[in-house]
Amino acid sequence: MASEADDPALVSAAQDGDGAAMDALLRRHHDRIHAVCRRLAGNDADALDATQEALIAIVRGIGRFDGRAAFSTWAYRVATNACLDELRRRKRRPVPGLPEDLGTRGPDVGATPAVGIELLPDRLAVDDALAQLTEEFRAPVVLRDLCDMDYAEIAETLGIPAGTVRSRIARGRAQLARLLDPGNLTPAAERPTERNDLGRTP
Amino acid sequence: MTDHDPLLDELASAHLDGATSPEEAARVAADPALRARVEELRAVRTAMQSALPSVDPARREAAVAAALATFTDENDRPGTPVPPVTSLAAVAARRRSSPTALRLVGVAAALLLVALLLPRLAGSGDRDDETASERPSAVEDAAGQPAAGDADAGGAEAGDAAQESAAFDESPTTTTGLAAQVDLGSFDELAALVDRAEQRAAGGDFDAADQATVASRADVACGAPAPPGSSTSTAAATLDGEPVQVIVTTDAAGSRTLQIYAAESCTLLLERPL
Repeated sequence: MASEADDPALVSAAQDGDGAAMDALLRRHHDRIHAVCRRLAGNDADALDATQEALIAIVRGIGRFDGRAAFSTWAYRVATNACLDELRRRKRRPVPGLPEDLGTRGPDVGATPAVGIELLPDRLAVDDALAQLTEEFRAPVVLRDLCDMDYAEIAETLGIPAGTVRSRIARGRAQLARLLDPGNLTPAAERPTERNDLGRTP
Repeated sequence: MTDHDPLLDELASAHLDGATSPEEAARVAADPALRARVEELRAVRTAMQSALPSVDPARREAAVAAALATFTDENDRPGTPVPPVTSLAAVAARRRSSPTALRLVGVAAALLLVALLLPRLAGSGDRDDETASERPSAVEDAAGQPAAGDADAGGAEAGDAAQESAAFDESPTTTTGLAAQVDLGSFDELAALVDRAEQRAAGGDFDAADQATVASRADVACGAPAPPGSSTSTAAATLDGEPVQVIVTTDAAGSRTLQIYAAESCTLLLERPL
């Protein structure tokens, strides 16, 4: 798989209307964008729609991307805002006949069962815990831990001061720790992770 | 778990992110309780990173395909104004998303197209002949018609006040884009623009101030030709950074209709009676 180091060339070609380049960019970043939307949405059904909205927002905004940040950072920023917008719209359109906390929670249609079974308890626990966080805490934690954004990038994405980002991440993590009861969590070193090392200093 | 001091939690969390000062890092290193808290928060982070469901490949393909359809649509769209209904229907056929998202497709597509075409139309509001003659219109390009400045024929229908827009005077039968016209201002929200347009139209100054520059329908780039016996007034505005055209049509019975178009794509953003 090509590395993200190829992104600038693909972005340039996509900005010139090259569909193959746009296709490559979308595929390369789809899963991470979906992960962000999944964590922000709390369920697969909403995450799928939000992901699609995010990809379309990226397509529409690619002409305005100026290359000052990494494409991935910009894409996650666009995706985050698209997801949050979509989720806010949905919040205003509750599903009739369903409890509020289940109103946007459909079946996990995006999950692959063979992969999901092993992680199911943790995944549900994380879903439930994240669902109990308000957006102001959930979004910074997701952007930090899934998108590898630094505090300044998160601040810019969410339109809040960097100091607020730091405190909200801390409070969000503390709430998650309480909700997840970390004493029952497997130590990090023994778990399969997508990215244990965040790789840079915020 | 016991309650934790929020300030110490913030310190532990920042340390986890590598965002502590040397002094803060030293404090964490010297405090076993803080180090333990860092590990608790690390476990939380790891749980969130590792417990993601995988993505169904078919759904990934569908999402990418939908986005690429939008990309292709916007890149292949000709300069000729597309009837709004056709445009929205084409987008709708490609996507199965929420109605709200669908509405936004039309607006966003129009705004993007405007952004792409804006450099070509720079100076469309300029008043010197040189600029006017060099101004290529997307409409003209697509239709193979001569530029406005090339046309010798034409009348002085626009009247004296329309000397501001010489190109339109020279070629009143050519659809050329925005004339020099009343500028309603810049707006972030469509609703705010509608309010302003309605106020101006209700107050009469919208029509009065603009009438001289829109002596013929040829100056109105967007929308269907006004039926016989009706009159048209138009104004410019900026919506979310992109130019729009505001049109008020008064029919023979005196009923007035407000239309707002994305200026370059002529995508209808709003239509309502006044």
